[in-house]
Amino acid sequence: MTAVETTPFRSRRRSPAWLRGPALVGVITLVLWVLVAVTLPWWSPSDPLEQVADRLLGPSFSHLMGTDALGRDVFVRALWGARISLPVAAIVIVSSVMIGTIVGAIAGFFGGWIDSVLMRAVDITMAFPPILLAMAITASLGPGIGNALIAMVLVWWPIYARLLRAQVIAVKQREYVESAHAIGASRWLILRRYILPMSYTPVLVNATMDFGQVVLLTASLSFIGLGARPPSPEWGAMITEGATNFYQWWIAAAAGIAIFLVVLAFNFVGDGLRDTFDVKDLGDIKDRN
Amino acid sequence: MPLLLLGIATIVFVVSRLTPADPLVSIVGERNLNNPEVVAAAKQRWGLDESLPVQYAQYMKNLMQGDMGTSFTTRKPVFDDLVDRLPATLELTATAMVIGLVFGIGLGVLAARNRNRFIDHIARFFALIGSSLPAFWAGLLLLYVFYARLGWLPGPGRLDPRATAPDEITGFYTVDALLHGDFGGLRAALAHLILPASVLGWGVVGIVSRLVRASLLDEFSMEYVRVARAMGLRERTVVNSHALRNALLPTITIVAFTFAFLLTGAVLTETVFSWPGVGSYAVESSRNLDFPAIIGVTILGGFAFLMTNLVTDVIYAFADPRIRLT
Amino acid sequence: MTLPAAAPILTVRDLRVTFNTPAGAARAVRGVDLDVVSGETLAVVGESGSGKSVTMLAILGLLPGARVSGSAVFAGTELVGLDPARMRAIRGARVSMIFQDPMTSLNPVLTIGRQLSLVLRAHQPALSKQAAAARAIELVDRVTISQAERRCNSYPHELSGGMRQRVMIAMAIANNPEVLIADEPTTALDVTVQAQIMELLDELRRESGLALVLITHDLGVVAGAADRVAVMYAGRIAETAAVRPLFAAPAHPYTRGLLDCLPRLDSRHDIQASIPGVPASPLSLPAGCPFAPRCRHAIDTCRVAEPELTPHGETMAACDVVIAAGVPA
Repeated sequence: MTAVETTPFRSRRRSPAWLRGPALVGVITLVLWVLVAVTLPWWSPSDPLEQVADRLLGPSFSHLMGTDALGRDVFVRALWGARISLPVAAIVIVSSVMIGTIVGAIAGFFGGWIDSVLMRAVDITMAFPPILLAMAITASLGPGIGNALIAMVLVWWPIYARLLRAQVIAVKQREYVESAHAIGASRWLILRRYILPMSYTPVLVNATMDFGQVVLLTASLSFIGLGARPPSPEWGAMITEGATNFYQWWIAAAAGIAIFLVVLAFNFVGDGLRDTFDVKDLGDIKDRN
Repeated sequence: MPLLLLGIATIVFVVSRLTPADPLVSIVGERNLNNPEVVAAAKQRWGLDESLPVQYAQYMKNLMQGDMGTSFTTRKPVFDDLVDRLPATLELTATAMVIGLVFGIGLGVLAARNRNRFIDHIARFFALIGSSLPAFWAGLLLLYVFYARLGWLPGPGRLDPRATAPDEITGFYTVDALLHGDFGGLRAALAHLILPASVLGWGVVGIVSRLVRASLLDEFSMEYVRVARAMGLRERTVVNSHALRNALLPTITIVAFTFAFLLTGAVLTETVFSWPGVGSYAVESSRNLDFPAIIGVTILGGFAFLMTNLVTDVIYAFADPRIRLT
Repeated sequence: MTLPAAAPILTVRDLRVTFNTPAGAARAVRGVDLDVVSGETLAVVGESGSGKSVTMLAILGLLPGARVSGSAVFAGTELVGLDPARMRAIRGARVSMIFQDPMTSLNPVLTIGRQLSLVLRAHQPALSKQAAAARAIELVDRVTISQAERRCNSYPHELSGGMRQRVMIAMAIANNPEVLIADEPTTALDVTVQAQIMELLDELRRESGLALVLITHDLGVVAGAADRVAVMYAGRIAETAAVRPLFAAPAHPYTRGLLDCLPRLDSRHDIQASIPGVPASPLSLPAGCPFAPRCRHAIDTCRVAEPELTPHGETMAACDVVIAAGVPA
């Protein structure tokens, strides 16, 4: 006769994925950047647009990333760049999501010719490599950060339109939507209350990752000369300056590192969000009897 | 599909014409803006005096015949400009694609087989860096390190300023040099190619390795993999002969996506490395507000993208025996 | 364990398999003894969750995430804890396993012939590609698939479920194994095809003298095919016997319950019998006999200590109540 022991293992409770490991680092980084961007005017060591020292000095204790061709503190300029890139990215993403959601939801929900027409527009827009289209639009409207913003929204919204449409179509077919229909809920109500709430998860994950990509695109457009114009301390424009002053590596490096940190942080957080909402990683259950 | 092409051309036309900026500035120069004769002549020459619908019709008609108008800056037909510069871009992107695929698949396989161990984390890190690092900055940085500081690799451009290109057969300097038996030239061309192609390819490595890893892991949980293991097959065989075949199918679909990525990257990389391709042409045209050129490049981009999607579908149908029509 | 007639080729003693899950430790197999004899068919019967598949998978080292302890000696070699290279050499060559779902068990993008060749050349490296291909055709023919050569050039999705299962059998016997484990080989197939597959397995067994281990929950299949039976419940063997005595006079209440569930033509009941309750979960096993919560004959001592297998007539059952009280079937 053997006595039987009950399970001696503690189950491991894990904190939500988006707060663990790299995602946590990402969140902290982003919070820091936002804080810096918001409060900078109060404590900035120097004016990003004014000459504060001799030109083209290397990094030192007084000027952490040296000075540029006009004698401005590079490190400070890099910090100020956040005040351009972050809000721009936010506006682009929010606008794209809104426009894309409306278009995609309508297309997916109502189907028929509305769907066809809207999706044609989406397909055509998505037929271009994004940067070329953004370049063309910005060039037409005239170089400048505002026009670059408009161009980016025009390029970005179709992604969300497609995403939403797919989600709406998937959710539409589920039974609880049919029941809602059966009890006489209006179509708008169904759309708002049932379908949209179920669709936001992939949008959230995508939007977070896209934030980083928009920052990159903004910098790219500025690098080409189509986005922010000098003397604006936008990161892409700074890298252009850095390319001109090739041997003064710190000018480009400051902006490059800034971009890298921000985009990396967004990627981490996006990854973490995706892990939270996706159930792929279940550990070692190989369950067959 | 033809509707799509039509749509593309239309959009581009609309976009280019809604400019508040005056293209005349770049055509005649600031000084001549006050000279009515010059302005009128320019308007007539470039068709800018017609009404918008007429312009559109003219434009479409020309497009059908392959005429994309003449560049404001180079004064040559845009079409010719594009043809001239295409090989440079193709050589760059093709190399980048090869680098990206080879390393991407290899890394993905390694990551999947050593799941959650050191090399998996390295691969993930690598991919993350690749998609977070601004490519144009990375290019600058690498140029600075390997050219300016270390002197290991040559500077920007397809060749040294003093060197001459091999006689043109394909327009690919590497291939042409090879065909001429010019190994010195081949080496020079490759040396110039390696840095920009690596910068471009890095992003691809990231995307491909993540996808291959995920697909492989999916395949590993499939029944036939368990059966293969139960039959005593070596792990290497299970991965390479069984799982990889299936895992690569989704990777094929991503080829179209990576192509878009490469085109995007090419624009910036070519600018950084002074590579005389379509990408830098796009940048120059945008800066100069050279609208026929801008239109031309954008249409080319859209067209190329569509083509890649089509080709990808065909390749996929070939690769997956379940889809082939018996 | 009922003593088999000849020396067993595979001897399993006190096999235990535990999985670490986020919800705790799942003890899927808790001390199983088995003897597998060449030329015989041993049926391992049980519900889902009883641990019957896990037992075999563990023996073959096909459970990377699990902790396996105990002993499984095959032809003199201890399989538990055997280094992976040697285990791989045994798997598919000397001990083979086929699985339940022929739909997903074959690689969809490789031809049948190619998949067979891979198995052949994995264990017979000296075999050339052509020789392996030829042998593949022979094997396909052996498992009674017509037009063997054409089939070898086909893809799995072009074959029916029964044919796919036959292909799996072909892969399993490709290297002339001494033990063939069949995990629910007919569950996913039509009834008529089931019979054909069982017939094929039986034929192969008689021809080559291999030992057949049949894992199933279908007692009908057991009655037709098995020589000896082991009934598993909650990770342990509840009862084991030769097939006839088991069906004629089962001792363990669980076995009786299973047999009662089989509809019979001469039954006077119009209501389908079933065993009340749900199978025990490997995550939270009760103290004492795991079947006690569902057992009609359970008494207090049943919930204290888990019974061992003890002889009862011509069977061995892990139940003290039935045996002690001499309760009739």
